[in-house]
Amino acid sequence: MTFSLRADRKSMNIWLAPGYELWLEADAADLAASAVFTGTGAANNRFWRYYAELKERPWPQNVKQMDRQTFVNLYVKNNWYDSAAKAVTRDIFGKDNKDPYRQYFHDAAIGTFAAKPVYLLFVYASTLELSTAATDSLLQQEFPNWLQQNMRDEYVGSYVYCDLLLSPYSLHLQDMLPGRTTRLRLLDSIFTGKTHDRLLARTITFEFTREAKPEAIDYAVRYINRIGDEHIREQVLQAAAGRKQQLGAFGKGMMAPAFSLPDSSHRFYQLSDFKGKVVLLEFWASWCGPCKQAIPALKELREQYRHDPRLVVISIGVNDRNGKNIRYQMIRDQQMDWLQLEDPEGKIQDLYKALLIPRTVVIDPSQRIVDFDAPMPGDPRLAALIEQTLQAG
Amino acid sequence: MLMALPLLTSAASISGRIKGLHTRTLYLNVLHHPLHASLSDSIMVAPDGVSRTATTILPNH
Repeated sequence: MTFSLRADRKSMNIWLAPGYELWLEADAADLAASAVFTGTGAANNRFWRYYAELKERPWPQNVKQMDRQTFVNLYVKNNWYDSAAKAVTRDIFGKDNKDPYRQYFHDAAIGTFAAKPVYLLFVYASTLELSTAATDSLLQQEFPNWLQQNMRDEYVGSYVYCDLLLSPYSLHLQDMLPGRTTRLRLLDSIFTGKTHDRLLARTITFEFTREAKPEAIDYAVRYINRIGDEHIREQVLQAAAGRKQQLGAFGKGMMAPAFSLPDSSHRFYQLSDFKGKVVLLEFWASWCGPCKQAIPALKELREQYRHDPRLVVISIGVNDRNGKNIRYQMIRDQQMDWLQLEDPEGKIQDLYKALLIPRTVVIDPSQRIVDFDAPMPGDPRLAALIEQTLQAG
Repeated sequence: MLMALPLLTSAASISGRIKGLHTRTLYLNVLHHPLHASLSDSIMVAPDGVSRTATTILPNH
């Protein structure tokens, strides 16, 4: 397994396998490049220092003005990563390396190099702030059938490789393929072997964290049964059952979890302060793109009910300690003049099962949950739900 | 300043020293696992620089 160790805003990777007993000496100033491993497993972990020391071609200052073809030729279509991959095979994973997991981590290292050009293309697209469709077109144009061509079972140990295999589908997911079954069907039809099993398992279990309703878990069973590896399939089935049970204990009609949270001036508010009113909770963070996109619609909704004492809108900023000031600035700039509370540790977010944000929760006047995964602001179904709750209350 | 980071797992262990740390919390995130897109764990580093927190890593992977 690959781990990332983060400290003081620096990070480095570590490989752990059964039986490893690693000792690490490093300097926080340059964690990855200074790391020296000894002990069992040290031979394979030498790769990460090697990788950190490889000087990438300097990123051009004028990248935004750079002609696309020049960029592709310079950074994507050179064979520099091929030669680095050959060197690492010789220097680190050569015949002197007696580690029993040598082959596995060797493949992961080579997969990491293989994925590098696509990674650079994504960085380029992100630097130029290209749209999803333009990024997708760039990928397809420069790497026709890249995914199929590079689908190698032996690379699945590389998280970089696996993430990049999934990236084009993540792009599609946001804009073009909103249905989760469409995404799973696509992965299921394209990939084979270990890559198929790992990507499907990973995607399904990631989707579990997004789901807030137990019945949504059932859709995945058909695809879980498509996982060929018995061990992985069994683990995903267990994860599905566990998540379903967890979500089943939380739902419509139950009392909304109590909270006591501060606003930016450290004044605390309790949910019980709003008893007798319909409460709309919106979990968000400054780093969350879709949350920011939802702000205008939330403002509009708030405006609509500004003089209606029966509805209270509360935004809860979660897991945002570092971005707190950015969030305050956004609140001022966007004139978000409704109640803004802080949940820096995400504890209330956990209680409301709002693992992915934005999340909209509607609570009735008796403080029971009406919907803990309500449609987002701007969706007419949310307006209808609020009206219905106000009428019932 | 020297910091120590002992990390106990059911399958493997890592310990060591990181020089010049300012933080008292180190984070260890699983980057690649068939079942976890991102499983993270934080390790508190005590004032004497020695972590008392053990974390468990799933065996067989």
